[in-house]
Amino acid sequence: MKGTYLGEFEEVVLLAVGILHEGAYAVSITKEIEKQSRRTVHVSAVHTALYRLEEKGFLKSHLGEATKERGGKRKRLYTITPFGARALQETMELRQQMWAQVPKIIFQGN
Amino acid sequence: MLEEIEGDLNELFAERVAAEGERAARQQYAWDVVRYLRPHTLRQSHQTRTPLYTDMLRNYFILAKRNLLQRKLYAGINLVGLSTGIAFCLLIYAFIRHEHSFDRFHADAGRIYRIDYTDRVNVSFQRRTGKFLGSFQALGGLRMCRLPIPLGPALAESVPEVEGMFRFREGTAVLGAAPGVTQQEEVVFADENLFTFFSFRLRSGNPRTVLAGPRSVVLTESLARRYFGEADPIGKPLTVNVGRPETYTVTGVAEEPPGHSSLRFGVLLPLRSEPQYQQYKDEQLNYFAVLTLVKVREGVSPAALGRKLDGFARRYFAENIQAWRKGKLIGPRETGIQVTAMPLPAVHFDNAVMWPRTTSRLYGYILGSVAGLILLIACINYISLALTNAASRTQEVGLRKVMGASRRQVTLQLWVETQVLVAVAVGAGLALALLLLPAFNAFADRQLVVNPFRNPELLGALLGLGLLVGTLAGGYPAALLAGFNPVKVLKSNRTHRFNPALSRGLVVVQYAVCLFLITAALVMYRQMQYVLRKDLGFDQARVLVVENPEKDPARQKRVWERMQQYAAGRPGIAAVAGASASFGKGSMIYFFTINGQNRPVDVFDVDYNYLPLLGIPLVQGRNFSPQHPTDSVRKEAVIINETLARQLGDDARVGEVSQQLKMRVVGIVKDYHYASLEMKIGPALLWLNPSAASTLLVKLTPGHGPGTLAQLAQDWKTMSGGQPFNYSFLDGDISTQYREYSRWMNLLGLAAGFAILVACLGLFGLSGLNAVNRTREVGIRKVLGASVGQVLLLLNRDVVRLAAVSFVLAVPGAWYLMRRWLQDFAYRVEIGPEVFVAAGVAGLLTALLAVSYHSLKAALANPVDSLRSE
Repeated sequence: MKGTYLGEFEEVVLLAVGILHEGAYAVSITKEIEKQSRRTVHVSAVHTALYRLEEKGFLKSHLGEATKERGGKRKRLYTITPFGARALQETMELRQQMWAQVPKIIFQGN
Repeated sequence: MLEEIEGDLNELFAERVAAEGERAARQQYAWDVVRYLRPHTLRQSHQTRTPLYTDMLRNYFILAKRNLLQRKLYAGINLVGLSTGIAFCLLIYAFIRHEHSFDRFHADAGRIYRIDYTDRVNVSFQRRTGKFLGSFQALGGLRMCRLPIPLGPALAESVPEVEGMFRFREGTAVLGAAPGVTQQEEVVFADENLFTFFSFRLRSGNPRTVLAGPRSVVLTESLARRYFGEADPIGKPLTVNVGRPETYTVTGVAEEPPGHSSLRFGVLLPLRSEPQYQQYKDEQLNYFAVLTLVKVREGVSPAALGRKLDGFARRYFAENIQAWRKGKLIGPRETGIQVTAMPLPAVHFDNAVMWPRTTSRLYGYILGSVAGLILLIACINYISLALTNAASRTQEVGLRKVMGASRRQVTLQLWVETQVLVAVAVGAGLALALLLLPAFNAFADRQLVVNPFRNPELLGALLGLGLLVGTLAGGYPAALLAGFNPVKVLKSNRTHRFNPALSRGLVVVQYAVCLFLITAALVMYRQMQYVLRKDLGFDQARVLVVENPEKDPARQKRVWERMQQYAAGRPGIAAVAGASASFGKGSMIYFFTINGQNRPVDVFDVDYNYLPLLGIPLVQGRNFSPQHPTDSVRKEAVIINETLARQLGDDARVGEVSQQLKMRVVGIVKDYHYASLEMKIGPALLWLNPSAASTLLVKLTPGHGPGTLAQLAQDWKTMSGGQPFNYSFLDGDISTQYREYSRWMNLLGLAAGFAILVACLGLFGLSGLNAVNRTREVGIRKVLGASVGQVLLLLNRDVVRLAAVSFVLAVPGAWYLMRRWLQDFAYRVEIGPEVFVAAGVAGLLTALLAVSYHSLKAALANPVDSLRSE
């Protein structure tokens, strides 16, 4: 599909949204990524990625409830759209396709 | 920042505080914010739309109506005040606009200039115009707008920038269409290019030739109808007498000149038929009579024209300039005289010269200020009432905010409420203005029309005024009320106490303005009384002033003789005298060299009966008398007044010839006011001209007035050879001189009255609210033993103090301005303290009256009722 180019970080963010299913918002996504990939990510980077993904149509968002810790500000919850799911799938397929074509002997020895 | 980002950051902050402590958390937070600074994170995107304030407008109108109807009294007070202010503003706007539109209707008005002549040679005296507010004008050298006859054509010839030139002069003539039916009319003698130079319109006749013939006459429609009925007057003969009756031919009928034209005419005659034209048409310097205008070519700037005029003056008056320089009257490099040009649209405001229908710009300013003041008082009323009323609206505002209104929305709602009231006031003001229009037109001597539907400009001004007032009056209370913290207000039950300083300040300003107006009106009134009652040095009672329009000296003399015979047999007529001019109608001015300076002297031609008829006493010498035949030799004998005698000094000895006057002084008469009291009595002299009778003074004996007058009117026709009978009473003439002043006095009085009314209404409202606020206090005091009197004192103490402060503020300004105004008069009253005391007392009493209703009510209230709720 055209226009489904997914950067690496964006792919990770998208996957995190998928993992979190309900309750995926910027802070929880950031924590999930940090937990899964053991690298530090700043919440603003995640937010930018979320914003771009929503613009491309891979995510949709809605405003959720506010809590006391958030000073009465609501959180924005993201869910993957079918289009986004399709894009993820295609990316996965591409990886697997190419990975299958790499002769396994490169990784043996050494 | 976007809401969710703020929330995220808050959440992270909370976690970090728990994990690392507050300080670290804060640092991280700051860093987070920096990292978040990208365009898409700021509030633009994703945001729910800001509420459209206009959605609520319909609701605001309903609320406004409801609120206003609930508080009918205060709405009513504000309505009265605002509509009065608006009505005044409207009238004065119409007036000022009319003033500024004078003479602009001519097609070439931008290129037309009036030529003035400034005399710097004879600067030893300054003649001030005797007009209202004359002392506020700057005085320069002697500038005149009347020029010698040949100056205009010479200018047009020698200055290439000048495309055309026009001269005119006013005068009177006696017209007759049928024998025996004659009427004296004001006429204008004009150059033949009147209708091509200006944009006056001709109903019939050729604009180029209509004044070309030496015996042509042009009438306006109304005059044509008067003399010729409905018939076409073109080509018909008309008898015109400007010295001798002659037959002229009507060559054109013109439309009435519009209301905003300086130049008005009923009858137009060629300039050449002016009686003194032939004699003085080449007189370069000593005869200043015609008004001269020029039209310049396209693109000529006023500065360029000015330079050309300077050059022209140098050439045209070259000989005179040389003579003056030689006689050391001017310096070797000076020219002594100056020829300047004034653009036509500005001419209407030039009060310093004798141009028809001028006014001072100051009129507009003063009227505008008065209207502005009244409007200001009304707005202050509104603000004060709103502020004091605010306490009762805090709950309303608090509730609205809790329900979700933003501060801006509440402000808007309150402002709409004010605006609705102002809109009603605008309507009421317009109605009021229309109601007052006839009276205002009578006052201002204009024919103004106030019709916003005809003039979109007026409508725009009206709407603009409404918006301005609404914002001015409503803006501050709206902003203040909308700023309430709903939590604080809804929790506590106490009434919010406002800083009373602002309210008090506003009331002080209001009252100071009122006091100022009252003082001004009082001073004017006193001056008027003084002027009307002052002894003028002669007896003005029962003196009839009859104009003798006969110009021919022989015939004039005959009329005079007949009048003497007529009077001799009648008991109703005590005496008849003749003079060249009556009071307030000007005098001749001759220049004499007195004490080395060229000075003007007022000169009157009189007959033998003049001084006795008016009861003017002589301090030395004698009156003219037939027993001294040399008296009647022209200019041989003269009577001077005390002022002139003082100036001449030793030279003025009775019975001897004065060297400076070159005439024999036969008597010195006591100074008397021959002109209005604005001017100091100047040097004057009387010549004997036994049949001087362009004006006849007829003294009537008491008790025979009406009968004698009627008889005289009938007999006049035979005596004067068919001349129309135009008369007035001397005391009436004198008091009309001050008519303008009494008009202004009436206006100021009226304005003061309105201002006081509005201010009192405001005070009334304020005191009502004040009393309500203090019912509990009053109740407690009464319980503790205060009498009604003491409570009254307490409640009114504030008012007295405020009135005192207003007084202190108003007095200096009023005193200074009134002094300047009084300088218009050479003979005036002094502004004594009584005036200020009277104004102050009046102000205080009205203030007390306004508050008395509520303070009495509060003082008499039963404390049980007010304290029951405790």
